[in-house]
Amino acid sequence: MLFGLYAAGIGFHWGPKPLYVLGVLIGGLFFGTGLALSGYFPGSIWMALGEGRRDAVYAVLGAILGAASWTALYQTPAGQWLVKTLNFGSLIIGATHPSGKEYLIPWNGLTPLDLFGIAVVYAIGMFLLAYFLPRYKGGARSCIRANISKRRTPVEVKMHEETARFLTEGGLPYSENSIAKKLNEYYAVGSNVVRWFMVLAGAIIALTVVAEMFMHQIFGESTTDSWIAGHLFMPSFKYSQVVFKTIGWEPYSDIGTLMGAFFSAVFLTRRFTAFRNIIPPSWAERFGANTAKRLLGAFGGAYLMLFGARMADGCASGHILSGDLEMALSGLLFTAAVFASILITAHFVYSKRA
Amino acid sequence: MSGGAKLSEKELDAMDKAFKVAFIVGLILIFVVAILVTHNATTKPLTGWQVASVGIIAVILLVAAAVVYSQFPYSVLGKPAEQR
Repeated sequence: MLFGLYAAGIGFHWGPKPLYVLGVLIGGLFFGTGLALSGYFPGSIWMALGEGRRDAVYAVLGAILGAASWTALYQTPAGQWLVKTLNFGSLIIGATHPSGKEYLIPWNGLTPLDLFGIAVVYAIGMFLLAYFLPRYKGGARSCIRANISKRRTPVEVKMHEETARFLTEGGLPYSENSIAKKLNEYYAVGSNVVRWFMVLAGAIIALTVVAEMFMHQIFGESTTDSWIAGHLFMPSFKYSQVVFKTIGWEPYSDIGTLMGAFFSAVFLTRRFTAFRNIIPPSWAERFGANTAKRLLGAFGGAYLMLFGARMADGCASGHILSGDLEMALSGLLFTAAVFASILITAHFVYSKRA
Repeated sequence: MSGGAKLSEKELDAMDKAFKVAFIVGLILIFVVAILVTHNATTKPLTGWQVASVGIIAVILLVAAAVVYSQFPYSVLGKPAEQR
């Protein structure tokens, strides 16, 4: 849709992030490691806070400290080396994005219509990935394939039940005929990505990203942590000054993310946990039910994640959602680094039992 | 904040409804304050006090929710259960 509108001559606020190979690669590796440890994305920390999850409070603190660490490193020779070495500027597949401008310059001989054609092939590739990538470890198929067959395997049934149990653990009571039961025990956990409600949720996210681009904004979550760190501890640091000048609606987006999850947890899913002490089952299986360990994991994981996100100049929203949607090369490199480090960390950290 | 069913179901229901009303009022207030403090300046970077004036409403609602809903029984899959 994005490239179709572009080919039709409709102007957009293009904002692919610069491809500085070392910073984006190393930042992506830190990001994925922190993500695997904490179990949170920068945006889902705010959602978890909206659901009243205690470990999210520690994750917020770790995230702000991680962002502050990058702010401190940025103005040192090491920080500048990370963002300046192998810096190829803002590139998407088939075009260059001039610094400070909002338009694209297609590579030699290409037209906007050619870029639309490339985008169609790219989208087909993404759908094929979603079709073949298994949903669970040891699982044989993706959500799309499970949904097409309309039959669940024993592994899928077990995983769905475990997920529903964790989502509702420590939450509020609800009745058998409530919308909360349907949402928690069917809609949220099933292999139903191609059902109308999941397609609708995906479409709303996609339209939000495109609408934000129309309104000259970036769909991002982690810049807020640098913005908070800058205001709280380091207003005169170079990186804080950059963030203060370029910040858009991101802090309000994060408040909106929190309020959306909060609304859902109180009115729809009844998952509000009132900051009770809840340890995620996958964490408890590996590290036991020690609260301090879990809070340290949330804090430390979020610290690494935000340090990496700020080093790479974006997180899952800025690089993976917005960047990959624009076919940005920096977004694709970041995505590859994040997936690699998630898999490696998960293999070494969660394969053992407590 | 450990949950406990010390209050009757009727009292919990009343607290739940009262909080939901407060939440809707707070949510409307968030939009109103955001509109007022930004003066619809969509392309200017947000300042600290613009964000704080909106964020404080969310924090107050979260604290109120924690107080209200910690009175409810600890539940799993929507049914009261022992905390593990």
